[in-house]
Amino acid sequence: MTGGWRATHAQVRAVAVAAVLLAVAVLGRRPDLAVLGLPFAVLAVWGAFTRPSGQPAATAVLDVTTLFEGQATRLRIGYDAGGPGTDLVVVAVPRGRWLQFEPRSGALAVPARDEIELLVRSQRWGLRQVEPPQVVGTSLLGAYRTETLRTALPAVTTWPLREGFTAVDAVPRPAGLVGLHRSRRPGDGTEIAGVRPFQLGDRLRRVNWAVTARTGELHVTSTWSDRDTEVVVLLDSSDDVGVSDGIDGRSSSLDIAARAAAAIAEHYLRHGDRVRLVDTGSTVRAVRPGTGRAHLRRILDVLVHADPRATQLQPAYLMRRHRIRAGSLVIVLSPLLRELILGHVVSFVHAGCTVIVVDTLPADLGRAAEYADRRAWALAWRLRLLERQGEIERLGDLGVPTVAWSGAGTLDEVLRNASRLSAAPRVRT
Amino acid sequence: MTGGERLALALVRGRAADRHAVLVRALILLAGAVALLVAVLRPFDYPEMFGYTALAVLLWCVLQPDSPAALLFIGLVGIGWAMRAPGTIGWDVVVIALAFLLLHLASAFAGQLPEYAAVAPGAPRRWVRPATTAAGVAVLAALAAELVRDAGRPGILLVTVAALAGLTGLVWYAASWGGSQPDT
Repeated sequence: MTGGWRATHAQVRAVAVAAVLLAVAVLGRRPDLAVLGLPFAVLAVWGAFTRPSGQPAATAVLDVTTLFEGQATRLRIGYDAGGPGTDLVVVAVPRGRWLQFEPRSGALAVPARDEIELLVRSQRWGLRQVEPPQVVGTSLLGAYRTETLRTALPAVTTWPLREGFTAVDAVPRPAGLVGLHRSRRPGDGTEIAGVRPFQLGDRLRRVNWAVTARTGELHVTSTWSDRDTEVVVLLDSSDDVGVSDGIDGRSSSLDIAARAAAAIAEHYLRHGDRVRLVDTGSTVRAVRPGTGRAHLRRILDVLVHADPRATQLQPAYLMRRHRIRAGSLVIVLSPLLRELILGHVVSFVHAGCTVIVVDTLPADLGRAAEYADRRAWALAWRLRLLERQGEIERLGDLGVPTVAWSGAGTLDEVLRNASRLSAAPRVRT
Repeated sequence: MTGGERLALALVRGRAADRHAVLVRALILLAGAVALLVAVLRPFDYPEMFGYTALAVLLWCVLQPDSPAALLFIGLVGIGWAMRAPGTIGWDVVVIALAFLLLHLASAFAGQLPEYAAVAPGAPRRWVRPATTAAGVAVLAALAAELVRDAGRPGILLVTVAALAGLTGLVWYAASWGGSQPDT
């Protein structure tokens, strides 16, 4: 309780008007004033008599504290009136920028009951703090009021995973022992490589009985081994360019990057690959390579902390700290507006990784520049874009393809090219 | 906060207002306007200053129901009435009494919730009985006062006070009967 039941302006008004008008009516022999004052006397007495005596208490609980973007959960506010007399309970939740409520205002007045529910929808990835709701109980006729203590609520973790992402089943250098990618080496797998004579060590279940019966010699069906690879998702969180309207509107560069990182990680983890997440803006938060659904959750939990205000890692430090192996597939998600990220890309290339850059600069940013009120700003932006185009071409010269993020299929062509290149015979000089 | 910012904030809050809040504020405005018009348009010379001030206070009352504005409005109209009205009972007294009652109840209801709050159906249901009782008391008191008008008998004032006390006891009894019911 922040205070007991206190008389409201309404009760004070009823008492004062009734007292004054009836006193003047009696003393001044004015029946008309008695007619005016009597209803207030009724309401004042009624309000005073139905004054609640209990100490109300409120609790607030969120059904779920982890959501995907656009998902909603229920905020349950329990109200214990502590006794009879409470007429109306008013609940008001301060509105956060990325939280949407149902009812839309986040405020609801209901007849006194044990539980009040509001829907809370998270509109953007990240940690979204639901402010403690204000719960006010009023007695009949609005005569008395009390406010209960605000209950703190945990933040809603909103994962940036929304759209389904798929890519061709091709990684340049499958290296591990498990996974779903077809390797160039025969071994245990599901993709048929051919039929060959039985050799010592072949499993009996691999015997191809049809060919064996036809040839009279024991034959087995051989397969290509299924392999995995280490996929490094490098999130450039140094910039958040563009306007973010949450899941229902425009996306900033960091929105695109975070959603793309989540979708790519989910895709490769589903295929049994090991995925590592590196955030350029975080010295402590990174995810080591791993597989499985739990690993996806670890990646998503780190992604929600992406913050352009964090200190950016230097390329040398990043390589030393994360020890990224040669042969890894590195997918860089960046708006490519800072030189630092180019340094990261060059470091990865020199370390022997296959690097693909996903351009996360929002496509509608150019139009925003045209509408800017200062002509100089628009000109400067065009010059910066020209510089950026030159940098992208230099990356291409290094063998690093750059593609704009467009959801499913974004990486198909570059992955095919990278696989073809890595499979091609090499000439040592 | 500058005046422009205040105005912008008020407009934003007005746009975000729930329809129930708008309806209740419209009731406040309607009840206040009726009370003021009836008082001003009577044949006796109602003090103009009271009328103009009450009009301004009525707007304050609409904008901020949880404030002393409604008390001030009732006080201004009531004082103006008490100063100049002849003191007889007529339809105008009953209309003003009912208008005061409606203004009070609407202000009380609007004052307990933010203007943007959604109101669940049935929220003011429990207000119906006290409100109708109070309205009935006003009408009955007017009828009773009209009946005993010019009685000119000694001790009539004492009888009136006793009747008021009895009426209060009756209301108290009615309220206790209603207030002992569980809330939920």
